[in-house]
Amino acid sequence: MPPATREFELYYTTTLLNQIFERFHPETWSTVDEIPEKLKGLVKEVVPTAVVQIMTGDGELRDEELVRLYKSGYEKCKTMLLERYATKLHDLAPRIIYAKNLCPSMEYPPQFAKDVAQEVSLKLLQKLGSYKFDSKFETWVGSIIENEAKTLGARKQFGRAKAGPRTYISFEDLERELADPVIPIIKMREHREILRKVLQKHRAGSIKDANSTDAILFRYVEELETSEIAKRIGTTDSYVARLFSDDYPKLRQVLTDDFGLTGTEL
Amino acid sequence: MTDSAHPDVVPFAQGDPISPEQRAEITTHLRECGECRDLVLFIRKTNATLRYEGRVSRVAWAMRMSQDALEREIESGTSVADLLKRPPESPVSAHPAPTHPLTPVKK
Repeated sequence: MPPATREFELYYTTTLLNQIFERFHPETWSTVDEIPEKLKGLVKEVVPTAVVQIMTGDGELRDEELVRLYKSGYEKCKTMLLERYATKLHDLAPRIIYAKNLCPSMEYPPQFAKDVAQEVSLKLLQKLGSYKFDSKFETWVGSIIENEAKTLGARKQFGRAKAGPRTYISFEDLERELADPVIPIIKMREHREILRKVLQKHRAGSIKDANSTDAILFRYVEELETSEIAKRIGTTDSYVARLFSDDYPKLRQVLTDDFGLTGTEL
Repeated sequence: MTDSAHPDVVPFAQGDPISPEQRAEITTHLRECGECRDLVLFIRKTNATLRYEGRVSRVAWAMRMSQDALEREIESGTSVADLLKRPPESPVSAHPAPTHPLTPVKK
């Protein structure tokens, strides 16, 4: 049994036992014959209380319980929780950003909140396992929203200040690049890390964005033919070509907006 | 960029087959448009980098090395032939002197 599952069992068993012991007063029972009836009564009393503790008013498992189940090996609970927060974040993020005045002055607040929400869903996907149950899950997400809003705000301001007037590769230099059979790779590790983040952010956008990220990785990392890529993502060759055409400009936009870099500087 | 102001430069940048007319239209546009030149360069660098990383990861897997260790070997100039000759238990080279300063410098 994985340690997390043991911890999960221990948690619920202890919670139930504590509730039983709180109500367990055998000294007040007059006869031995009463024991089965009293025990049944205890169970009837304790189980609904325990259920209330782990359920919301809508009959759904509380966020914390979904995390607990996920940590014990029920992968699906992570998906359920992330789906729940995909909607919730669009309400939570603007509220926190507005209340704490975290939107930089030159940013359009609804778009900034949307960007923060997207960053936070990515963080939740990666860091869900690090939630320690020492505050309500929603409070924990709130602190991530606050941190991400601060980081993104600073990055956007830094990106803009750093970028200044953009200078792009000249036509002559580009012609030379295109004529060279050896295509240069991105040398700096920091920039390669940025490229990874750009792809991650794009992937988190929508199903189409996730498909186009996969298509790019299938074509270049795995070196698959277009027909094979189409088969893997369940579409046609021409749609794969469309994905490339639509999405590279978007990737470059993320690079420029979020990281203040251009293709020329990469 | 596929709006009316910018032709679709993606197939051109990816080296996909396009008609001579499309190629001529894109080349003329690239003379005038810095954004599209930058996009072409971004696509080429991105794709070359992803292809390189894919290959490094496959070779690293085949040689039972970590991708980082193999990259260090490549940066220090070790050939794959030398790596193949080396017994598997041999340690990889120490990290070479950085080939670029640790503080990012704009090219």
